[in-house]
Amino acid sequence: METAVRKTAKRTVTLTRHGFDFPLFIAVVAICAFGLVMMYSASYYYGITSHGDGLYFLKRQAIFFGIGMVGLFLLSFVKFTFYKNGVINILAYLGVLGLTFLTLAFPPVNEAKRWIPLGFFNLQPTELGKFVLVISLANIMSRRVNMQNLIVGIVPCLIVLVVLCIPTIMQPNLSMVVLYALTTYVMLYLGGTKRSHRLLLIVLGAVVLAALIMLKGYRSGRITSFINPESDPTGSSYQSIQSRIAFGNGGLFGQGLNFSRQKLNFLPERENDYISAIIGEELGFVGMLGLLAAYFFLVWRGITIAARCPDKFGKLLAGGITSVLAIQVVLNIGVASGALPSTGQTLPFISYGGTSMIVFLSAFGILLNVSRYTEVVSKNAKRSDE
Amino acid sequence: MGPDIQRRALSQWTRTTTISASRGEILDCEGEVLATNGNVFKVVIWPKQMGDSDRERIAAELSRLLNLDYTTVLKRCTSEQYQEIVLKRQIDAATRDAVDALKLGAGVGTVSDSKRYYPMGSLLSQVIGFTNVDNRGQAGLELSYDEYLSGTDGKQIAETDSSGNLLAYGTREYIEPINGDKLILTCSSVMESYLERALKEAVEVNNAKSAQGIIMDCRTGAILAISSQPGYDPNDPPRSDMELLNQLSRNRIAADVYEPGSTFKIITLSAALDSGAVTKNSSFFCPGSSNVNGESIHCWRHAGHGSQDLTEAAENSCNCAFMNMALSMGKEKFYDYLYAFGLGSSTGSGLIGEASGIVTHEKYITDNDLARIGFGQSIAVTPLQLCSAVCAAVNGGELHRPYIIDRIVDDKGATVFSADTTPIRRVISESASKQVREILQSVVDNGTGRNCKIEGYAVGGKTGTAQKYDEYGRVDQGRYICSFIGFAPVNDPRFVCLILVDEPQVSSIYGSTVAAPFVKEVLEDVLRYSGVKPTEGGETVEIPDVSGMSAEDARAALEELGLSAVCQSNDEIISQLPAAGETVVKGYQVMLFTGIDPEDEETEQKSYVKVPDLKGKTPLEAYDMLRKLGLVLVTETDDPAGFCYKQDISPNNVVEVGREIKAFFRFEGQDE
Repeated sequence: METAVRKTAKRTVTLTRHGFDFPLFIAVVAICAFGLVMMYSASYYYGITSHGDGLYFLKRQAIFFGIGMVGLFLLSFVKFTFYKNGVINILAYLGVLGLTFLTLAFPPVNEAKRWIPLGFFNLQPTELGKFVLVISLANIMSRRVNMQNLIVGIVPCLIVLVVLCIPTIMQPNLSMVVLYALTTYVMLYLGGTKRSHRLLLIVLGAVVLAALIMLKGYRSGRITSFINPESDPTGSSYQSIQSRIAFGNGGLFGQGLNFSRQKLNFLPERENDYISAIIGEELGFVGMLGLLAAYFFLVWRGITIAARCPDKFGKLLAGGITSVLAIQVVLNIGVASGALPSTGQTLPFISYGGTSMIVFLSAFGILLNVSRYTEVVSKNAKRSDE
Repeated sequence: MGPDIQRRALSQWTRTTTISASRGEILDCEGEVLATNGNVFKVVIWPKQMGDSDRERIAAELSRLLNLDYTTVLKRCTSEQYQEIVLKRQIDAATRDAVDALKLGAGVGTVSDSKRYYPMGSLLSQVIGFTNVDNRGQAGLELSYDEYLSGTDGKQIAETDSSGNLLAYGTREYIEPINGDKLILTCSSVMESYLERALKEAVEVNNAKSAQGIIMDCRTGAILAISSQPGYDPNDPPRSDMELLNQLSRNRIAADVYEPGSTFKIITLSAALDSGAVTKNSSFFCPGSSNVNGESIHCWRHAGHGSQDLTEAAENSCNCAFMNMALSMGKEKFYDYLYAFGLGSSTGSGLIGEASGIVTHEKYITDNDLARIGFGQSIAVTPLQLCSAVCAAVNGGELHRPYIIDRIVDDKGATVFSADTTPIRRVISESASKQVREILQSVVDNGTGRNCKIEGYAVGGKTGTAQKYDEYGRVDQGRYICSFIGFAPVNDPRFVCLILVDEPQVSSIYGSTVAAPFVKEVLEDVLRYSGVKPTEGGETVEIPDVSGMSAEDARAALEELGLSAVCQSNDEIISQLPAAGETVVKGYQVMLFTGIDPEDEETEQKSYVKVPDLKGKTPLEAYDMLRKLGLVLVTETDDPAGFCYKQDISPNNVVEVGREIKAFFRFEGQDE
């Protein structure tokens, strides 16, 4: 692929706009619809006990979904080359950075300052930051720099990453830092960096991560309880044990829609970070496989779009958006099923949360736009082109 | 789900509430209730279902209302270990309402509970025993039959959310408690009351330390009454004084051994007659002492009884004659009889703490000991063993296992266990038994048992006076156990009654004067109560019809015939017992019943009681005290906890039964 990218870069690219990518669009809407049903089921009891209204979370999520769909449509009509504009990119990056710093000025929720209260909902700037990061990296890497060179190619990318990570780690939000870093790594891979450099980055990343974990006591506690959940069943292991009970209760085919027991406030964050556990409990292992298949379809479409985009920036943009989605799905389900230590990442398109919903739908609006400029390759033509 | 996760899941999804099984009742042979349950409540907490911020408030409120220590309550409220904790048991309805009114959330609840009541008070207290606050048996049958009485608690399992709120659509599983089985005793509360009355009198009249008594049906081995006085009230056992409680609740008839003395001669006599060592015509000479192996053993009458036949020897309770009988049978033969009579081993009655007595192995005894055993020394038995052995001696020669549980019936009425007479072995022949009866009747008619003679009935019996020993095994001067064992009727014996008076402090210390009159009293009452008609001896008369007469006229008419009468009032007689035409012995007491005027009914039935002092009592205690007297407790509902400080009718005022007594409760130091 690296050679392919280079070839493309030498060519003068002509971007021809073609039809709308309905399969991807339908898949996104279908996952959102499924998500609304599951989120409603997961949040109903909590809504009653916390707000006296079982529909509380559904109503709000429906509004977020509506706003997100508007964003998706609008951005799908904005030609993606718009984001190549350096000024716009820098403004967006500085905006997100500023907003992230701004969160620190507000009172903490659950001992973390991650949100800016806007009255109707709380804005989580780092959700936005994921895709601003993707755009920024795509811009840097597509500007004819030699990605084989550590200093010229990789270091600017790392600076972009690290600067964005500073306020994020101050929130503190380690899982977001991890997500940023993983996304950056995938994009550096897509951008054609040397394997040896990437290995260096892996070692560096591991050292930094270890340092950050050692820095804060609760993080190492999470690691301990990840390794041995029985060490603190009512404390740091509580969520993961409750999540396991949910998956266990679901079994192969689940208890059936609405029949989760763990959503009766046993499992914290059931409508949010741990919604996949409720899905596992109600729809079982089979339901979870179906959900993973749907996400796999999105990822596959995203990879296809990236591969067929004639523009290097478009390629990196599509690849970045897709990798954010993929990494986040893996992180969320991995945490819920106890395969990864406890962190707080939403399940895209499904978890309750305004910023996440709106930002992901908007990002997929961008992806849908990139998709309109792919080289249409018929099965026969594809072979002759190679 | 893995089993570990499954266990954790089920325990957090459900809330289990224990539903106490009702403890089985204890009834006497006529269905009279001896032990039953009253409805009370208990306070239960579920610590995991309390909000973290609520715990201190809950602990403060509950400790105040239930009069418990705050730190203890708080500790229980924060317990991680238990799902359910019973905070306080046996609270009354008013306190229950007060707890409910506090609305302390899902973590606190009140559940019905029960408290044991003994309607007959101290009657049969050593047999029945008592329970602790958790309704577990602690003494007597309550302890030994706890397994049957306690039943199996039920459960209610309900699905809840994480805060313990019941789910609207959740399933609830109800496992019904299996109530305890009923014990039906062979005892009769009427006979028991005769015995206990006589024992109390015996203690009082003789200024004695205590008195024990037992009545057995010698045809079956059923224990009809059993008591040790002084007793205690199982409704309120003296729990604070463990030593006293142990002493009072000890069933000494079965648990204590003593040297029986002359009453034991019945055993020697039976063995000697059955073995053929003596006949009714054998003659004995008593010079006042016998020389056994060079040791001179005195007869109780140092002057001696001179020449006497077997019956006279028994009438005189002559030690020399009985030494002679024991020696002539020889060790081996006499011991066979001792063991056959069940001595030296527990009778198997099932009474708690039954002792087996002390019968020294024949290898280790000398002829001197053997001679002493002949008149009831150098051997130790329990009163129950002796009574059971005498039953066998007089009932035709068969030993039956004594028993006190007649039936055990489960909650649904099905019989779980039914006791029947258990013949163990034939000890002596029918004819030997008949001779024993005749000789023992003669003891009562002409000999040392004269004080047990009952007008109109043939009674047999034997006195006994035994020395007590101190802790070093030396004879303790001036400390005696006087006893008498009697049976009736002689021809067809039914009742055997043994009474022991421990350490009487009167001038004449003999079984014949200290114990026999009380056996007489008991046997007379028992015979009449069980409808045994007096037939033998005495002049008989036919009872006239006195109905329609005024009470005074009726009494006069009866007294003219040599009968006595008891009567409730001076109205017209409407009924009598026994009925007209029945033949009774002179001196018999006829019961006369008078009509009750409907107008007077209320005044007739009204009886008066003294108001007790309720000061310092908890509402439950006050309720119990008043209930016992037939009075009603009225409390101010707003604060029904604490201790009584005021009552509207002051103590010792006499009021009619059913009167409401208003009482006021508060915590110490609280302002009025």
